[in-house]
Amino acid sequence: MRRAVAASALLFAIFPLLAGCWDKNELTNWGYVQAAAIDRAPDGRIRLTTQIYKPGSPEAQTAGAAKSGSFLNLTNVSDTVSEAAAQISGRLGRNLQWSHMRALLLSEDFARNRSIGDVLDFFSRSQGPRGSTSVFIATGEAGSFLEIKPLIESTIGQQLKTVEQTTGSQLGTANRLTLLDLSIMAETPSPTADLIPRIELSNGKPILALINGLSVLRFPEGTISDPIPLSLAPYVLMLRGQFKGGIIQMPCRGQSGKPNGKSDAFLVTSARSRTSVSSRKGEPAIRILLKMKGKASEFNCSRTTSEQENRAFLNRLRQEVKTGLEESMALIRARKADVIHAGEYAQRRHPRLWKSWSEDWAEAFSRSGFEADIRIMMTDTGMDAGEPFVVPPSPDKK
Amino acid sequence: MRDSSSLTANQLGSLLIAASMGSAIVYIPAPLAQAAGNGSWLSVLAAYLFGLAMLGGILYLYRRHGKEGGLFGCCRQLLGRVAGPAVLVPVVGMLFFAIPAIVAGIGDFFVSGMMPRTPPYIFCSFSLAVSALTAKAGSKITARLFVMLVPVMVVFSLAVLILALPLYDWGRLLPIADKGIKPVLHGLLIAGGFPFGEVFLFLAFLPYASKEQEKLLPGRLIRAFTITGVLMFLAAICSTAAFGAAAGHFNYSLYTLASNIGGSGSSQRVEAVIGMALILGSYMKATVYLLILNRIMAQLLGAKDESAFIFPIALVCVMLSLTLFANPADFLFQVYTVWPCTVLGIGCGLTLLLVVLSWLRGNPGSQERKNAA
Amino acid sequence: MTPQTAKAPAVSASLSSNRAFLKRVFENCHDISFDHWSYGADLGYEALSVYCRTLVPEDRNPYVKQTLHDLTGLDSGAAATATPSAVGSYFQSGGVAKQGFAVVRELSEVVDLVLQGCVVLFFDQWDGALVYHAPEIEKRPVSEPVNEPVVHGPREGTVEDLGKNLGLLRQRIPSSDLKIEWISAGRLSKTSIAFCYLEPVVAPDLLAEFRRRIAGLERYDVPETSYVEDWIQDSAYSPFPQFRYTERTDTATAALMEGKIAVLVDHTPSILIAPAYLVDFIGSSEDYYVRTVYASMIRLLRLLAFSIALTLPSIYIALSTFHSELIPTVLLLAILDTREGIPFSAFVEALIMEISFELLREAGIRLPRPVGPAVSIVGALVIGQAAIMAKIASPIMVIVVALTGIASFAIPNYGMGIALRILRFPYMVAAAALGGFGLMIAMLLTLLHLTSLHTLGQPYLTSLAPFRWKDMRDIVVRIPLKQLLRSPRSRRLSIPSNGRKDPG
Repeated sequence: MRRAVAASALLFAIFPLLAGCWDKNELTNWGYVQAAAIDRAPDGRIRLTTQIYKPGSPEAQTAGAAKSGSFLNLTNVSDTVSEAAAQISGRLGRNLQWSHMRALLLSEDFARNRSIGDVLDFFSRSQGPRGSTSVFIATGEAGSFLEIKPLIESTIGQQLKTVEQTTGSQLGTANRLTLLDLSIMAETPSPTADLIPRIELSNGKPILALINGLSVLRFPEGTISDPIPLSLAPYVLMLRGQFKGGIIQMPCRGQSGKPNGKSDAFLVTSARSRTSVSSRKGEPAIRILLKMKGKASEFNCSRTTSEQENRAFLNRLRQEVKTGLEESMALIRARKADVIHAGEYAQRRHPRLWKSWSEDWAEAFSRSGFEADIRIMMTDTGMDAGEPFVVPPSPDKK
Repeated sequence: MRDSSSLTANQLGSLLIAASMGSAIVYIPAPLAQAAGNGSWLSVLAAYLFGLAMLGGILYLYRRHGKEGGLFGCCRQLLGRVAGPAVLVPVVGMLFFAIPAIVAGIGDFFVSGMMPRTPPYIFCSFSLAVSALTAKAGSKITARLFVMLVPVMVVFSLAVLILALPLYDWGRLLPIADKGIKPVLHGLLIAGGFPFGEVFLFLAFLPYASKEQEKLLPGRLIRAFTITGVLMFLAAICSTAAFGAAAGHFNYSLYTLASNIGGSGSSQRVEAVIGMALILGSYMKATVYLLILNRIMAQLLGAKDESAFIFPIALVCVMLSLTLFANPADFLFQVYTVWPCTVLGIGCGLTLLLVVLSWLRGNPGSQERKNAA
Repeated sequence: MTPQTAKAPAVSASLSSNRAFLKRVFENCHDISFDHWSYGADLGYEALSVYCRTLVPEDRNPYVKQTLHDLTGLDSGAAATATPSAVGSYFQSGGVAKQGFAVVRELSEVVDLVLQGCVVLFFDQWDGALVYHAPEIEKRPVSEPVNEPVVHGPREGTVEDLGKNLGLLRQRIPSSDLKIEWISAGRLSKTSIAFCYLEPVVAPDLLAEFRRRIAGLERYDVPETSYVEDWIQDSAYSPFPQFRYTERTDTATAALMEGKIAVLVDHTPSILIAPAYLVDFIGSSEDYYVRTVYASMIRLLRLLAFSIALTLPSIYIALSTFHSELIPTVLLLAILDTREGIPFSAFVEALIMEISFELLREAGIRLPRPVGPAVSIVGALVIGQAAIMAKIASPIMVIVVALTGIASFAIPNYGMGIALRILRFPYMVAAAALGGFGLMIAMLLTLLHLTSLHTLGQPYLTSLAPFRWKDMRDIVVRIPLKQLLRSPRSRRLSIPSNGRKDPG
């Protein structure tokens, strides 16, 4: 008994020393990367810029006055991301901790000319960022985006993420592309395409990062091509079923039938779409069923007080959406970019048909037929009745 | 009063879950997805049915041979005094591979994920030390402990699968068996060996069952095995739904699933807890196998002290866990190719042989009754 | 028996030889009084009373008067005519009107009885001695136990007198099924140890095991119940208490009705309840006096307190040192701000704060009552704030330590609270050495220890380790008493066992 006690006491005393604490790193030994930007250096190598959180002083914290913390950006050029990251941590004097990274920015120049897989391997493999990190394409130099002072959040990475979220839910012009999505796309054997939000720096003060479109990313090349303009972005997202909400503006037409400068606005609160692919004369025929629910956001020239007027309003709306959908579909068909995952659908549901199309799906897609079935339901007109704020004089009353 | 060294049917059921689900829940369905693509869940289903057949076989053997129906007892009775023990030597060798493999898996998991700089021998030695201490305390105490720990593992795994609902895109499951039927069969081979086929080893534990609960035993064991099967099945389906074609790309499916939960919500970062729960499973499986190996060796070598071999076996396994696998590719090859074949060939073959022999020989119980009458 | 009394003679008829013997035995015991008085015709007969002045109240006259009154009141004749032989025959045939009287014939017994607070009367020419039991030392009155206060419920606690305590228990269970057995322990202290049980409820093998273990204790002096605990426990080195202590009579009664054995020792109010399982430490008697929903909520809160008290500092150390990726980003950045500039590692910082807290707690116990509360509050505030200002600790560490301390106070049983306090430190070391993995190893080892621990031969984790669903009705939550009362009174009686009858 005594030997057992002595032995266990000895082991217990040695254990902490033996442990070596290889992975022991105080919080203050890490440099927490909040956002990273990748550019293409003039010589074709990778330029990595990391934004590292710099903790504020505790006095400022307890005083409660000034904003705590700031950040610093460090850059390095290298052949691989791993090497660049190691160099940066050498310069910083602390190990880089990637697990709190919010946003990854790739410059357009880089993404057009080099495969995105070159950099993604590092981020996926290492004990690094969560799969929920958002990816953006930056116009111009990606590193300069990290210089922007965030408006309310603590770092620009956080701000970009929230901007993307809000734009997606309020305007319907941005989708969310995460590292996980990219990993899945990269592993898919057949060629796929997806959309990445594209940001640019605004002019004027304060400098903001704005989402100005969606770039098309193709796999297996891993490069991007021309962006989809902001005006068509909501419709492309509707086609993908990723439209979460947004405003649809309908220009008013005056007595003469020409636009008179006013517009009505309709707020979409939910949208669901279903894609189906069938074969017509050997070519794919894509059919979208789009169901939208929303409320009137602004009435400037329409009325929905009667059943007729309601129907007319919804028809106008439907027409507007249909035009948008057809325009966007034409655009992506011309680009041969199947961002609506019609190919995936065909592969899943019609494997035999898919076999005949799969050799060159991009071509087949560009030749595909398109049909949209749009159903819109207006739930309410808000607090006011269904007529404009200033009621235009009706013809009879004159 | 209940015999203090016998286990209730529930306890045996928990041990069965620990032994079959333990380390598998960490890996499945990654290797299967690599082999069979979208059809990994088909492989799991088929392997589960196969394992059920094996379970039925060992239950049959137990019913025939009663208390003497342990692995060693059955072999000796049916194959004779020399051939019986001789046939168990390969099984001993298999267990000497399995335990280091499980423990090396724990080490790999931590080293690749959460604590990359720590040398793997730390994880291997500590987990095996705790396993050995647990096994040394006896099968009764181990069973009591595991009845508490197994629900933790099951609940956490289920919680991950449920919390990850937003990640699932059920369309990714189509087309079923996108790689064809042959890869599904390949997946069946892998899953049949690891983990479902290993159930034959559980025969060594059945003699511990208490007499009063004999009637309940088959039902409870089948229920336990089904829980494992269902969880594996769900893991396979949910990984495919979440990751699609990338399911084979991630080494640790459930862990990666957990790390993607939440996005920017409040249930972020739950993967550490899941990681711990999964490693708990591996520890439990290692302990159960230690107990089985100890029992077989004790019976083979005729030792008086039932738990004499535990610490020596544990020491040998620690050494083996550091030297068996030269590199990650070697580990993959040995665990997912060599091991399933061994399990199916030796283990399931042995079981089949014993079942057939037992059936041919008739009921030994009835023989004795005839002699006594 | 002392060497002096080992060869003590019997009470002799000669008063002087008795007196001489007793004076020799009680040499230098100045609190023993020898009083002479005379009686009978012309006060010719002598008598001697021996008693201990510090135990017997001063007015011992009633005893002597009572004795003589008894002598005269009956057919022995007038007091003046009492003769020694009449005395002897009268008392031996048992005619006396005072309780607690006895006739002894051995001088060794006389010595013992004087020391226990009896008055012994010797009569010349009679070879017997009369003994009256009369100790009257002021003891603490029955009051609310200090360590187990309740908001709603009886405030009756045990005192330092064994007789009174047993009386309190008897009053609550006036049934002949309540068996009380005594043993006397110690040569010098001759302490009475009593153990009680309800015969139809307690498991026979448990009782037999208890009897087996307590045998042999008679040789040793037992000043307090904890000596009994140490004597009969299964594992001396485990930090977990295997028996419960209480000073509340309602808790003791409830335990008796559950089939436990209660051990009481004279001169101490602590009642030892054997066996005690881990799940018993989560409840308190007040749980049964409040409403179901509230009681269940409190139970769950206590479970939370249990886990916090044990693991919070180690979780903090593991997360901040090894697994910072698991802390939500916003919280992490806030922590970073405060930890910058602190020279110690998280582990050392935690250790410093924990040890300061333990010191404060110990100091709070030892301080005299007027000063105590003020110092502990001021101490906590000042140390916490000053530590932050001096950059020895970060605010989050102070919060962690404070929460841990508060959680450990929420555990109703003091012994279990101590166990958790002890275990906290190895957990912190394990977390500091190997992070989450180390913590997991520590927890597994603790679980293993708990599973193999036994209390009085029963598994310590009864209801958890051999898991019983039905028992959870009273452990994790507390279902309405109407159901608890109907199915056997105690959760543990839900298992049938031979020899045990339903108390009805």
